[in-house]
Amino acid sequence: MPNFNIDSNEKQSFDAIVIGSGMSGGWAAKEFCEKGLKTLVLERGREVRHNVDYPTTNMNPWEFRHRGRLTEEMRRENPIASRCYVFREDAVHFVVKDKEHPYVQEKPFDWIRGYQTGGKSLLWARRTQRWSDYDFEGPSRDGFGVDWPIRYRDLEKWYGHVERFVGITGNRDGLANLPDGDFLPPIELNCLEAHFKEAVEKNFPGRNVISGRGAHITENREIFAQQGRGQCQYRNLCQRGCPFGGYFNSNSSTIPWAAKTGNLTLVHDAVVESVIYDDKKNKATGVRVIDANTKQSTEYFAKVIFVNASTMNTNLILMNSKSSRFPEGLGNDNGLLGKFIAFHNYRGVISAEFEGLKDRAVSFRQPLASYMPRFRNLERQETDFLRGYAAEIAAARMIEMDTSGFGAELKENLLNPEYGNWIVRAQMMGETIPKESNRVSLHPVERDSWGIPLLSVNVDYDENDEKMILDFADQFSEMYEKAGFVNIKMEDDKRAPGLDIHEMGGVRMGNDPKTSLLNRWNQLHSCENVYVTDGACMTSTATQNPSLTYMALTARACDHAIKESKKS
Amino acid sequence: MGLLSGSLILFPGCDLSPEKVSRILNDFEVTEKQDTLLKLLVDTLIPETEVPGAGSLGIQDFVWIMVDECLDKDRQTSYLKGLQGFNSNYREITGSDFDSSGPSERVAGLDAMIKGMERPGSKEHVLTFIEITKSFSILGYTQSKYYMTELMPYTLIPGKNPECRIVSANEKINVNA
Repeated sequence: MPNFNIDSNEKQSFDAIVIGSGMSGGWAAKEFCEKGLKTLVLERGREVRHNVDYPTTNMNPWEFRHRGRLTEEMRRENPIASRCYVFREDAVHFVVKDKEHPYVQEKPFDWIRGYQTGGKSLLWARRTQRWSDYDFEGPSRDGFGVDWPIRYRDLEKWYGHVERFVGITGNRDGLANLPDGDFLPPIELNCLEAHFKEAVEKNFPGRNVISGRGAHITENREIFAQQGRGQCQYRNLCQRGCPFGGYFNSNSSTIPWAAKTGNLTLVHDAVVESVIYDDKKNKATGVRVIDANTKQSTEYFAKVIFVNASTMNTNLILMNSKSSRFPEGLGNDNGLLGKFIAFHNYRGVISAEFEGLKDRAVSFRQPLASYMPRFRNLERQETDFLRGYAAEIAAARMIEMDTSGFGAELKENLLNPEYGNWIVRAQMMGETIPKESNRVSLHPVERDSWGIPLLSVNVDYDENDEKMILDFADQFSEMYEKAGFVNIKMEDDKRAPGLDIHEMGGVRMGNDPKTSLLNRWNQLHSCENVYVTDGACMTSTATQNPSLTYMALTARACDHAIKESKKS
Repeated sequence: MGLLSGSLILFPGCDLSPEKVSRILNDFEVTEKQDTLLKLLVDTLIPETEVPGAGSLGIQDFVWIMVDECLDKDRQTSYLKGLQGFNSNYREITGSDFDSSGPSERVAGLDAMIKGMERPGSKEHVLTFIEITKSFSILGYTQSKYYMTELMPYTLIPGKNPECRIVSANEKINVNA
């Protein structure tokens, strides 16, 4: 980490400051540095270098002291993080521990975080789907929230720009509700997924089962070689960091790409306290940072500031950026900052068995399972709830190991497992409706170790979500039955919001400054040199995994910021 | 954490402590007798045949680690109570000590113990002890280096997407393929 002379404003001045080095911050760093802007990236966590700081990446299962399981102490100390599927022995070091970074839950909310270079991009599930106008037009068609100030045509070329650099596998399915991207070769459906596809597409017009689309390199290209990244090796151990760079994260891709331009300054352990607003200049001039370890305060200055601290922390920083012009937080003239938080409803899981295909088998190490795009309420309102859900559908041949008995009989069974039925499991990803009552705020009293108010979270499901879960169960039961599946079991895991790790909104985009915080270029309406392009900017959630859209919005906003700076 | 083996052998004449300590773990100590008992139990559960059993793969070391570090307090307490009561319960049912029984007697004895116990009941802790030892033994055995390289080879880097393949009814299945 570079040491700055804190007395010198000149050394502390940059063309651009990016708060956060995760999925979207990494993209801002890349775009700015490539275009010659001296860019400061502030990361609140520790440094994690690609392939240097992946301590478990090459470990075999038997080399883990607890064979992947968490210790009782780790579980006891981290009830929130422990509910997250990546919080296991091999990736425990990449997930924020509950006690280190407390927050206030007015209602249960599992806030899963990754404070390090790359943020949660190290840990993500790597699914990427473009939005369509069925999604962008949702709020206006269905009368909730505010209209998106952009449409698919505004983002289309930026999706392509991001996809070509990241590397996205997918099949060109030609679906209007899920536009094709600039794809690398698809990961083929396995035989049960293909069987299900056939049954669904024959019996349910308008519903599709497609190859998973995701950030895995499935074909070598020059652009990946330049990043030092190679093809996915199907290890299915992505959460440890990939030695091949086979999936995309900031650590292997955007951050080193930005660094090699010579224009990047990356500072770790830099907790942003606030964005500094200058009442005389009528714009933001920099950010105030507290060193996570020494707690010393530093100010950095730049012409343009990108806030990419992750949805909740971006809200927190803006709310804590108070000035005489903005006593309620930066850009918050309408009092809506922190409100209209939404997320994805992942509560419904439906599993079943299939007694056919007895002469086929496939292992479980598929990096991306199949996917069903949203079909509900697509062309018109057809249910008693708004919007709909997509689903991830995974299938594999079960292997059964009889563990009854003792002694020679037990051992014989451990050495001779048998094939069982095929199993299939679908998980919903439901759109939730942004509501003013779903909000985050600064806690009036409680402070963190750096003197920053704790975030207080008040987010919940509503009746629309409950109805959608029932519909998911009904529709999938019907599709499963048509496919000949048996032993169908629906589970509502009643998870709290947050565990989807798709929290969005609070600083939403819109055309009208009275009802939104950001304009069509992701600039704060009332402070145009501050951009928000992480999940906080989202006006609605659709049913797509959101990271690809954050990255595309970021690249588009960077392009805008660069053009604006040339004007002035 | 400390994993101390045979430390008190240095003081062979010491009889201040009635039982020699074999392991000092984070949450408890293990006497030599208990250590021997667990090794024998693990080896009874997954015995030595033409392929190594749990005892020769040292699975008892893994079981102690898991009991010490991965069980919640209630389960750990119950486990340790069950460990204490195991041999006397075994003797009640079979008429002899666990460590002086032959391999097939031990298996029959465990079967009889499981069948003769009801939960909740006075023997609940012994049942917990047997069940947890068994489940960690299976985990440790099937995730041991030997099992995952010699018996069911695990590939860290498959290099290609798993595709559906044709299988026959009597083929030997590799759970880690």
